[in-house]
Amino acid sequence: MMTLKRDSLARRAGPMLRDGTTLQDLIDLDRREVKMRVLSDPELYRLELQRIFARAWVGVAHISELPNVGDFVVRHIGEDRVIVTRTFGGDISVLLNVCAHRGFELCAAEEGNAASFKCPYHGWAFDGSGNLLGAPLEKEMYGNWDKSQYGLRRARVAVRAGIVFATFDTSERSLDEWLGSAGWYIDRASHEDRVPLGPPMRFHVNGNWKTFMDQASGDNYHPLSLHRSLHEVGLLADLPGTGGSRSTFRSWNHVVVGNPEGNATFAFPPGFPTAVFDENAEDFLTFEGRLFASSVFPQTVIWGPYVYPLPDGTKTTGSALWQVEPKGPDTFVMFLQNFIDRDAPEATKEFVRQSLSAQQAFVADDYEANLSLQRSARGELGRQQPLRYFAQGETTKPKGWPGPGIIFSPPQKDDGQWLFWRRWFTLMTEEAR
Amino acid sequence: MTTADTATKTVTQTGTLMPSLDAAPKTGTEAKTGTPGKTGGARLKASDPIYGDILDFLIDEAALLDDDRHVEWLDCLTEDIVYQMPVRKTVYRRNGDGFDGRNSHWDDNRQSLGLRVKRSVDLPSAFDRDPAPHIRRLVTNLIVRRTDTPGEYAARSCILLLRNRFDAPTYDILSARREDLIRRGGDGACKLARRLILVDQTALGAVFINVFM
Repeated sequence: MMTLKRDSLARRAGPMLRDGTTLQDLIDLDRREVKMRVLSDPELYRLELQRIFARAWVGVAHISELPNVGDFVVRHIGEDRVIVTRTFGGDISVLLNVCAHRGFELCAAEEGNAASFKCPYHGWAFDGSGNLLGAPLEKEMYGNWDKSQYGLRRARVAVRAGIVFATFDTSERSLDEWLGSAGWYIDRASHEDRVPLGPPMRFHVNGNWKTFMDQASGDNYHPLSLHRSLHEVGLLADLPGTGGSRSTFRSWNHVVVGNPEGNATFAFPPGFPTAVFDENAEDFLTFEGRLFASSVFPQTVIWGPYVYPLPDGTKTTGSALWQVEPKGPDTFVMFLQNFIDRDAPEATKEFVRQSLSAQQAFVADDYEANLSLQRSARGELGRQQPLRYFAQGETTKPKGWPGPGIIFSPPQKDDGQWLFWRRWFTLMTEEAR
Repeated sequence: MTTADTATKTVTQTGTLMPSLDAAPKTGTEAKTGTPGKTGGARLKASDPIYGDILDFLIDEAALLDDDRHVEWLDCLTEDIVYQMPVRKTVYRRNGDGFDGRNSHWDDNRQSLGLRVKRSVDLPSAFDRDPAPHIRRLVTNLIVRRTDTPGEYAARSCILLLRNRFDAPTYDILSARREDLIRRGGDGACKLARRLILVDQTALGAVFINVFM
């Protein structure tokens, strides 16, 4: 095994679990290993909700979902439900969907339009900015009260690349700071006029949120085996010449752009034969067309731009917002929402909708990994077992690469994923700012 | 003051969702979503031989899937099959039932269903299919109506699908209403021309990506 430089995070012990284990005991920063206990421990999961999700910037909606004053959708930040709505002032506001009086959920529907939000329990009513408007019998109940003390908990909001991001972090950490170099890539994947085809597809997955996000942070080693069925069915060709798994690996081998914020973009390098999308990719792909996906720690993945070749020979572009909503250490909800250029004709949208439906048949492989690791992590010996990320790659930019970040060229290794785990450890051991 | 519970804006959109073939009730907006000539047909009694043919067909079809005979199941479908499972949203009652065909768990045609079947039975690396999951489909509550097209029948049924994998003590469960369009030949043989699967969950309780129902 190669020797690795001593990691600067190594001095952090982090919070101690009830059995005396520290965070430091669960991660080996020098050998780049994480014990599988981190996937299944309920105590760690509560710490994650507190130290990661309650501080994270999360992509909760596309701006076009809220065209009119009062439009709302209900989405998730960690396990907390939030109302995302357009206020009378025209701003987007993101509010904790919990009444400031006695905790009843203000919005039971997940989308609609409302000029205000009235709690079913005792009738307190709030405007779209979360301000308390009034309550039944308020003079009798509360006399001359100061309503400004009883507004809804309100998140900080920032819109970037058409995506509404929100956080309940009380520090000054900005979205740009959270995204780091990933922002540059997201700007090229998504924008205001690349709009949702429809509401999200959602389903529960037996797995830990980190297994999914870790893989989304640049694991281009797994398709060789886990997605082998794509090659077996003929949807993705092996490269001509060498044959067998070596060429298959090459065909999946992207550039991975990591950053210290734990966000990774994986992108096709120049010359990549994008057989998934078009055999003659070099004929039309712009640089942006080579981008594939950017994970935003901890819960969001922004795909795009997809380039869809249409049956009539033309092409259109799309993108996608994925969310991995944690529901306990053993479960998450997968949230999949696909975007397409606003002016695309209806026939194009239908084509894209059908393509994405068929695509799911093969994305199914990934959920097998989530399920299986969870089964492995249940046992005492299983939870002691390390996940290993020791394969280190070169940080070299392909010629002419225009984007920022820590760039790992093919053959791409474990580096993007290890940056994910470093970020996880950094936030889990970070005191509130 | 308009509040969330008295919202009036209708947000439900059907996209390219196949029109509902269910005839009753057909009032207000529901009537508009139906295709003229495809709704409101006379209901067949359970004692009608045509009802029997369609019931046999649905039972046989479910048995083929339960028995993992997916290639034969494809023969139950017409070449122009439309097979859809739209996503569902939780919405206030006034905004409808929440089904929204602009995004779909399934939006398939004969070709893509063929691809899924190929993956389900032929490939050594379809890890969700091997070892084979244990799946049971219970098909019930069949209502059959005539349509304006001779030989085409609208069949509404309920399905309860149970899936068990490995040594799990419990099942993944999915229940749905199905609205089918059945083409019945002169010999009584039936084929499935349309299937609209209306599930009873918004966020499905498990990964049902490659589970036909």
